[in-house]
Amino acid sequence: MKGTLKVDGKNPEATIRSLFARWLKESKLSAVLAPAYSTAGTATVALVSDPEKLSEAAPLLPAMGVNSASIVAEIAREASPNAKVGLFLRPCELRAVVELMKLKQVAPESLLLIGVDCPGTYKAAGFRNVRGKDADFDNRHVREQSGYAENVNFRTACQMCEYPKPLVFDLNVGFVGMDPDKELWIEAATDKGKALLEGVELDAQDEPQKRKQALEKLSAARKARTAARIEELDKAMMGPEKLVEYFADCLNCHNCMKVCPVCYCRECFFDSDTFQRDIAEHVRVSLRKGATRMPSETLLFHLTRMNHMMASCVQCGICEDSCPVTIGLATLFKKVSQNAQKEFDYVSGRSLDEPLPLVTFRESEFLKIGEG
Amino acid sequence: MDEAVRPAENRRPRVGVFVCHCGINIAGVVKIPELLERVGRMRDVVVAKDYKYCCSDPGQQMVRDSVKADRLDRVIVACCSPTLHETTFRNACAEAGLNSYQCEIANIREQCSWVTEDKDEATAKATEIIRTTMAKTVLDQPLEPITVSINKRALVVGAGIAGIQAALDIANAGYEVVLVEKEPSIGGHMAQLSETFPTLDCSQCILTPRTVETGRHPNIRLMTYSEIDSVSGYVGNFKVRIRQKARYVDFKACTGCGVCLEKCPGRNESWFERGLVRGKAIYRLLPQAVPNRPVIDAKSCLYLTKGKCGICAKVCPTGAIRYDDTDKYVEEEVGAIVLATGYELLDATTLGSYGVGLVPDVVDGLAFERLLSASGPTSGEVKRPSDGKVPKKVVFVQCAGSRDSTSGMPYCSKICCMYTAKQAILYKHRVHDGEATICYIDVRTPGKGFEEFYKRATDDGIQYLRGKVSKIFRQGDKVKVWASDTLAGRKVELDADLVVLATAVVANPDGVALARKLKTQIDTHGFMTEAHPKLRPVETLTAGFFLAGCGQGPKDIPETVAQASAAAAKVLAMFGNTRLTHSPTTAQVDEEICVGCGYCEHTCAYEAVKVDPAKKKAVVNAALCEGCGACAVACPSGAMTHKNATKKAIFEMADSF
Repeated sequence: MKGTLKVDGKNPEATIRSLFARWLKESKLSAVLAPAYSTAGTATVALVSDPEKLSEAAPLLPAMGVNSASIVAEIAREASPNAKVGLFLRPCELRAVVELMKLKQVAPESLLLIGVDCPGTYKAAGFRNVRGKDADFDNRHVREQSGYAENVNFRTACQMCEYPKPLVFDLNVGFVGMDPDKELWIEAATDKGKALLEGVELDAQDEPQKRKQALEKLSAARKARTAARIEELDKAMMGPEKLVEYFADCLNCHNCMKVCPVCYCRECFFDSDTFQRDIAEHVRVSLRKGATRMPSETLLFHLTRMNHMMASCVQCGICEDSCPVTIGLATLFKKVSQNAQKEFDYVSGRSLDEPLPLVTFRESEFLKIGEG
Repeated sequence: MDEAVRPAENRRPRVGVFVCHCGINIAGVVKIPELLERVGRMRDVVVAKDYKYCCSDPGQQMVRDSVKADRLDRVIVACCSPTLHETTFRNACAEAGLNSYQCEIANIREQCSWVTEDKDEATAKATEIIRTTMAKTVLDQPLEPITVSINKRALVVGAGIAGIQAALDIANAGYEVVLVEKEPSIGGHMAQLSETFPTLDCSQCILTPRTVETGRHPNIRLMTYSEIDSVSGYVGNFKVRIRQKARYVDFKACTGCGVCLEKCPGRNESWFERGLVRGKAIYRLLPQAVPNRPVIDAKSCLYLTKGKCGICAKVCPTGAIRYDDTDKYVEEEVGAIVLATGYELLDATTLGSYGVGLVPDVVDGLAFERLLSASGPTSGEVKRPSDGKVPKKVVFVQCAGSRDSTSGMPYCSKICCMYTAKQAILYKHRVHDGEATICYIDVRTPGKGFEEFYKRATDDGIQYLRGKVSKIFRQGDKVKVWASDTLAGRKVELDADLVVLATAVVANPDGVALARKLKTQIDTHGFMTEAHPKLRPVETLTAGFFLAGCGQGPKDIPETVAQASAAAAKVLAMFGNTRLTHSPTTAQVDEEICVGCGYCEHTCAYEAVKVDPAKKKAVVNAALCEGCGACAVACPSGAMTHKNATKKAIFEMADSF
């Protein structure tokens, strides 16, 4: 089921909010998880259950401090018959949710995946200043981004993102290639999504050509930019010495791991007692090499993270935003995950049915390495 | 004897290191005194000694004495590969009161002295090997072996001569055997053969006493026309689900009178007759079939496909026809499984230039066996398929797809040199004025009586032409064979009435599929892999699975029978125990850390790890776990570890180097 939804008062954000209100009132949803402004005017996320409090939700808020899939993993590890939560999330967030479902970290039964187009976001830190006192900032952003308008202030990962539209969703709200002051593009991909649209007045039609073209143009531009950035990165990083240099500033704070939506372990291996040594051991290791860098194992940590995350990384780049010493993680993880997923003909978050690449075995895999 | 003793710190492990000279194997390259001196300085080492042959009785005694005298709680023996003497030294340690899993081997022979020439480098490397082993050994925990009960029944898959022999040996020792065969009767390829090399015994005559005994044996539960659906469980305790295919004949009511076979108008491609004649829709493979009961091929039966006919039901005197028959599933519990899935011949249509499928008078070796066989479609008269004429010139082509890595198989199929010689000899017996030419690359005769047999063939006037055949095609009623004569250095064109291809022996595709299902190892050609090519030739790396016959590699009948008896002996050796012990070095889960993502479950080749859906935690079935460590590698959080090869141990090993 798909078609256009009329926007009232040149306010697409309010139109989406009224959809939320309808679903909450009709008890189709018991709560909505969506971006919101804090009382201090900063970008955050809220779980809204009272239709009266919906003014707090800002579904089109263009700033990202966390990948909300992390929140979903926290609240929806188990399903409950008493809750039906609509996740109003960005494409990279929904893709991470899909990966977490496949990794059995999120139970799908109590969730509805409601997506929204996202051509890019600002960092949450400092966003208050970007927005200033503009109450219509979100709508203005959507208006600007409905055509392809590159914004150099977007987060690094967003500037390379080729998925402005979610890949797996029950329902998606689109504005790319539309005139968002007049209408939004609504698309239900599943029965769950169609049920939400019952009673919603849609002008049913095929996806407008203009929208398709705008999405394609955006994807193509982003792919080209990604290729250029990765080429630059290769110069800075390829080879063992350069790799060490690339991570030289790392404080071993593990923030990148903590904020990663698909880094799902309860206890990180690098926080385990595997790396705990008594002082005599430390001295012994130091004696053998003359001197050892402290804290130890920082490079091993990053290599392991690349290894563990490459198959499911959704390239949201939230790791880079959380890095206190601004290591270029977004481009690095874009490169690593993109290359790895290509080897397995896999795209993270593309489908719930596609098995994770590391749980399957095809005889044709990696013939160029090893025996083949 | 060099000795270096130093006091260890409190509460630290007390490690003894014993360096073996292995005669000059190690000591000829590694400087032992220097090595002992370096090892003696390592942390936690209480004693470092050497001996000429540590595996000898006095060598083991040295270890035992030292464990007691020096109050050792860890032992490292620096010697050959752990696959050879790990058990020896672990037992020695256990006798001295040390937990055997706190004894480790540092391989300084295969991984050091044998592969290093420079003495100083070898000594340095041996030091590092011991140092890394030390990093792990000090972390080794005492472990107790796991024991499991044994269900003393065996499953044998495949009832060719290999499966029959294994089943009879086990059954004759007093244990029950479930013998599963996918065809309607037993005997396999051997039942297709005419006479056998090099003695020219009639294949049927030596086979049928075994098939009859198998069919009547009180300890053998014969399940023909059946296939393995699934196997679960572990060594000593397998659960097997067997699919008995719909036969459409009630075996109890049927008397095997054969009236139905005469009347049936349906036509079936006969696997057994290699396409030389078409069989009936209701069929049995041969007159001496065991069990002597026909089955209906549903694809060619007129009644089952079109609802017409039904003549077999009408003529059957005992009313044994059951058109409503369906596949049935049977569960069996067994302790050991013998895989005797056999071979097939390479589909020769893949050898395009040899005309198979295009030229009717080009047949493969098994088809020619049927033409020679007294029970075959021509009652043993050699007649060619196209016009039924007796061929006066027969060309035999060896290595059709064998020793040919471009369009066939790179390996030697082993039996073809002999069976081609035999076929040529038998042909000459049947057709006295016939000419037989054998095109070969090499003639290989490494078997008892084989060379003499080859001599007999050449003495019988069979012409051997050394060179590979490049093309076979039809011209008029002749088959042209283009070959080279490499001894004379010229090209040859042969006119033949019939061409027989000794096509490559390949693993039976159904056997390959079964091996994949059972997750037992196969090589790149689909042959099942033995646990060790020399010392464990009938075991597999999956405990409880044994190999017999051509499923493991091409072999002739005596070799197959010998291997089948060997597999039976291994099963019986296992059944001689009351309980089975299993190494405790298995995977284990830290439930505090596990988040149930399931990577381990998917990685496990032995189905030993499952995620409990309620608890959302991985659970290890230690009896199934072979301790390969794949799950521990796959687990990102380190919740899954391998006992005594923990991630900490591995990191410490890497770091100590």
